[in-house]
Amino acid sequence: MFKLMQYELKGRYKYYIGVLIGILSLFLYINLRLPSITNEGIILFTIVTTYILFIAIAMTSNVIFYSTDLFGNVFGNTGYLLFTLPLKGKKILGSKIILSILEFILFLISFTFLWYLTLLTHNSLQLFMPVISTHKTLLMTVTMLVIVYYSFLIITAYFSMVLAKTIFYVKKYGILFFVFLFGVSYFITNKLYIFLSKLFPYYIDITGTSLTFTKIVEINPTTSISFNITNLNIAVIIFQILIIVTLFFTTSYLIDNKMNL
Amino acid sequence: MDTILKISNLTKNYYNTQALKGIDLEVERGKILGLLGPNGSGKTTLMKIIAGILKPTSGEVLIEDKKPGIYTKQIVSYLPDVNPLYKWMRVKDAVNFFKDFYNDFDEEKAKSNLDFMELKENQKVSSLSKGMLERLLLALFLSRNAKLYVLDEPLGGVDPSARDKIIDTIIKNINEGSSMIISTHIISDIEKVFDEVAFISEGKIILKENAEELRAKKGKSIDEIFREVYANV
Repeated sequence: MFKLMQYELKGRYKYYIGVLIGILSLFLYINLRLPSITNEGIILFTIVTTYILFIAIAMTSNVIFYSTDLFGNVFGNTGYLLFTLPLKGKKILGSKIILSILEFILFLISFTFLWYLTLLTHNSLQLFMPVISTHKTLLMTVTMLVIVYYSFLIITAYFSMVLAKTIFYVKKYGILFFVFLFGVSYFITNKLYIFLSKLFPYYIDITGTSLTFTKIVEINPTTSISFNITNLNIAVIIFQILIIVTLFFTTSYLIDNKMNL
Repeated sequence: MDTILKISNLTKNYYNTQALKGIDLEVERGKILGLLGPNGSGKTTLMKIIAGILKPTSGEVLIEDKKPGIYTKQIVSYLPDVNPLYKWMRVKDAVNFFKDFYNDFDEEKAKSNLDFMELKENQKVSSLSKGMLERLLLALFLSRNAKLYVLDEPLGGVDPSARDKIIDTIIKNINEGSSMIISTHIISDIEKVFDEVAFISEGKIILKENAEELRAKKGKSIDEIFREVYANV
């Protein structure tokens, strides 16, 4: 599996360079603007807003990039190389998913590191260290939830792609069915999250104190990027993890036993 | 002589179209079978099923008594009729890829095949001409010491001068004990390598015989017999 990851990685370096150039350009812009901003509230707002934007863009571009990559494998010619390897579907799928998650984490780390450098060079780091240490648990939990949510998006895209190829031989219908299936899977799981959160109203408290910061952006019912999150629905979290595991094994099964190239 | 591949009553439907209609076929160990038929006759479908990347609708395919799966992928070297290599690859990446995933890949054989094919390690796959690409693919897939080689149209789109080189490589790489299925509709150049031929038409095997015996019986080359058979189909 790790050998396959090496080859997947080799084929992606241009994408990494592109994303890293994007992140650096953003920070160049932030650093040009920041000297004129002295209000720490505005700096905090800038940090949170850029994080939300970055996560949304990184998630979307990664899902599109990885879907396109898998599309090349199942609807294009490279599948003749990949799926004739003496490897189980779960290893092929696992290598792609692990790599995509590691890549997403790498982007998050790069982004965080550049914010750290920015604050350090503007002598603003000490202002935010107390905030970070007070809300360590909250920040860790939100990061974990973002990664779980990202994993859900990637595996849903992969499942939809493989099922589309299993049902349709014709590329054009396969693509349409993939888009349809991805939308439907996303919609249904979100409805189920809402249903489950009402059915099992049990929550974990993840914060001690909360910040008086009111920027709330709903990403999905389990994750609202907000510093006001105080509790998480247990059933929804368990269900989301179960969905990821189920889709992973179902997709692997389809690759091994049902998919037609 | 024992059989490496046994296909019984194999069918494959694409929605309402029946691509394979009850194929029965056996390939003996150490033999080279020419799978001959016009475009759309079911050759590629049959080969994909043998390679384990297309699922049959009904019937059975057994390779060394095993259904297509992980084990058979270890012993079957399938050359598709398209370029399966990643665009970012150089020749050396493709060689390393095969070396990393196939235990039966013979690196020395690969080097010798690449030299014979006049391919350089640093050449980018995406910059190769159709003929050069076909040579590279053949060099890679034949550098495996596989038990069964499945070559789908290895001469397709290749100019006559390159064909000889490809056929020479096939002959050079045939191992005693390994079997080979070669599908083609360009027969005259390659028929000398066939031990047996199977003619496929509209998803059915319409003729299967020992190549030498068939030539003797009809007093014609396989290419001439092919033209005769398909003129009446």
